Amino acid sequence: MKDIDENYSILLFDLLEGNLSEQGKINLLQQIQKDKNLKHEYELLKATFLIKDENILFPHKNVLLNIPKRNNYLILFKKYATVAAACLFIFTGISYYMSRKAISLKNNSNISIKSPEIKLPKIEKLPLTAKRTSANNADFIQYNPTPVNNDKSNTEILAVTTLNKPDSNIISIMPAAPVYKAINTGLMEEITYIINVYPELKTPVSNRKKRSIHYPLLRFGRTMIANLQLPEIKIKIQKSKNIIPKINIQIHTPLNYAAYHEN
Amino acid sequence: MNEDQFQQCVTAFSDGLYRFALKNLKDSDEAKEIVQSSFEKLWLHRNKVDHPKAKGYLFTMAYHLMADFWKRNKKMMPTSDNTAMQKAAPSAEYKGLKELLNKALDSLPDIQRAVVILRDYEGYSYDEIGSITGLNESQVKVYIFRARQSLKTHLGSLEAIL
Repeated sequence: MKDIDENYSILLFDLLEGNLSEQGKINLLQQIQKDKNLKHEYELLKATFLIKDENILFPHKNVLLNIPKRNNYLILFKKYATVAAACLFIFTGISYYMSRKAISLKNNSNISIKSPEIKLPKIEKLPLTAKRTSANNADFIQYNPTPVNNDKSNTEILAVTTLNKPDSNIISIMPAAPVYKAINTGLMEEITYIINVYPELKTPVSNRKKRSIHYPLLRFGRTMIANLQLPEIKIKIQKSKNIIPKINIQIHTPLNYAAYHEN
Repeated sequence: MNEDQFQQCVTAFSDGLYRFALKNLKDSDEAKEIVQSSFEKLWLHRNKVDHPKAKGYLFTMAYHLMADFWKRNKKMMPTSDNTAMQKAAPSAEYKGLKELLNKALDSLPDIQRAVVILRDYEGYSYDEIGSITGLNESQVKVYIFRARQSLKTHLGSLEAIL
């Protein structure tokens, strides 16, 4: 067979592809019938058209039909995973921030110490006549101050004691033995109980504030004390969660009595 | 696109898509993988794809996945078109025209084979084939013409042998 003109190849291609007009198609088909070579080329080109093989079928259609369900689970899983990752990220962020803040505070604490504002407990004098009875006995803490017999450096102090964190808020202080002696001999002209109340806070001693209360017992004359028989000092101390008072009691006498006591 | 429409697509197009992939790749496992990946992509982008355009979308996805496969394989095992033609040279063992044509089809360059399959199997127009393959209409026509000429030459040489 002779090769045909390239233009005929294009025309035959267009004929089989359906690119020719109706008239062009008729004319070319007539020519094909007349020309043996052209007809052979036409038949050969016609044979190049592929025929679909209907026996080839996709074997796993069920897998494809389940894609939506599988993807829904996947999307759900992805959502939960995203939320979990976000929570983890936030938690990590907060932890990091807190740790940085702690380090910063630790560093700053070495530079300046700001003393906390100290709130002093309120103390209040109770009438001396309110003696203990069996009914209200539980409300009192009785304390006998220890006489300071050999304290030459501070002879004004007759007796001293410290109460730490008293359980009761009413403190009853019994006069010390030297005070009795002074009263009984009539030699002591004046005696003062000084009660210092400190808030129990971990602050430097120099910063420690105190609230004091003075009892000038003999100011009104010896008779008054004598009539009371056993004079008691009673104070009421306000306590709160943060303030646990520490109470320091001093019994002061004038120097002349101290001198007497030493003798 | 809802789930029912998706399942309609599976029923209507999965076989054609598989045929397209299998004829191009000659690897049934890879062809199955491509079909599944194309449908998964369709489902993931169901909100963007209208039901009437689903077929075109599926074939476009499959074509791109096949193009990736060709690129990978060419890197691994480079072969020229001539050697492919030699491999597919007709011999006496090719009995049926269909089998012969299939062998001749294998010898075509990938792009020519893909466009001719889309044309003959699925009946796509040049324009539609252009949308799937990313070519313009003229390029598609030229590739189909060249593919048919190659196939014709192949069949003609067999005829001469016989």
